[in-house]
Amino acid sequence: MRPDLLGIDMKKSQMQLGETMAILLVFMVLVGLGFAFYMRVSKASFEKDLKAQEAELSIQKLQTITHLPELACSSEGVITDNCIDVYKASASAGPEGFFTKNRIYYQKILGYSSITLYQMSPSEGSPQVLYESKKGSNYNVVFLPVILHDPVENSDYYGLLEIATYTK
Amino acid sequence: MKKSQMEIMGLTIIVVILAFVMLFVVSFVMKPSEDTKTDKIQAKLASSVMSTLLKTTAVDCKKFTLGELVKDCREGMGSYISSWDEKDISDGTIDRDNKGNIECSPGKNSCSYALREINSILNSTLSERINVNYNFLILSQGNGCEATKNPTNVIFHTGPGCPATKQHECQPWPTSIETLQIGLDICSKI
Repeated sequence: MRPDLLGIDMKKSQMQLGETMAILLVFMVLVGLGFAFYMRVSKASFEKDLKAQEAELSIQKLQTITHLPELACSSEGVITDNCIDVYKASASAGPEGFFTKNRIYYQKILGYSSITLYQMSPSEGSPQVLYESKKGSNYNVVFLPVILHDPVENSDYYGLLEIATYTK
Repeated sequence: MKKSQMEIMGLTIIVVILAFVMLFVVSFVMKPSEDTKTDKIQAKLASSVMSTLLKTTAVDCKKFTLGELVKDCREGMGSYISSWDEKDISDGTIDRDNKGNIECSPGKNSCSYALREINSILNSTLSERINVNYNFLILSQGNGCEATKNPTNVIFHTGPGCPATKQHECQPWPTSIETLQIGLDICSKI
């Protein structure tokens, strides 16, 4: 083959190679930008999902609590929905309450959380801490209105159950 | 032949990239938003507030429940329907109107007692403790739950209001005269 022709061929292939490299570079930059954007968006979305899942978990815990025989109102063995017996709540609250005394057992059910009961009617009472097992400083709070049943007076008061679930 | 193969290759790459972009877009469009999940929590809150509120005992009113007092309030009005809001509670208009058959205490009948108590409970729990906005309505001649979304014939209205996204809960409340519609909207504070 003639060397001048060989020279021309080499230049042309070099140019083609250069073009391919440039296209690949641009493509890689675009892919990199897309990936960075995707990571940013998915991180924000993941954090939102995590918070929502924690909130849903808190609601599940609230429902578990209101159905615990240790707290729930019952008549002839039938548990009333969304109802807490005020005498059972008094017995379970505070450092001498059975939730604190049997903390290891209840930690399996309630995990790291704080559960507080507020009486809102007929007058606002002082809050009763039913269960407390703290871990870290990040927590998610959910409220659930409940009936506070007084079996002696046969009255139903308006109460609020607060659960703070510790996340990390 | 070689050139056409290269072109086909290029087209394939473009199609693959477009497919990825479409997949990315679709996954974002189809994903349930955070708002939907927050809505679930607020919906649970609204339904619990409503069911608990109406079962609450009025300790200073012969141990009737607030739901029973609301029923008596409407039955005591007869054909003339009153309309109140939280301003009528604070300035005493509701006491002066003195509606309802059950007398809870001298000068305080079922309407006054029940609506004052409902207003107080909602304000102390939703506004002060849980920190959400709300809109509570009792409607006369409400034609199903839809009526509480565009309210007319309002007997009682309270709450700071919910102009933004809201969770709606409604409960029909039968009386001997008609079925009332009791509605509660809950929304995040902006």
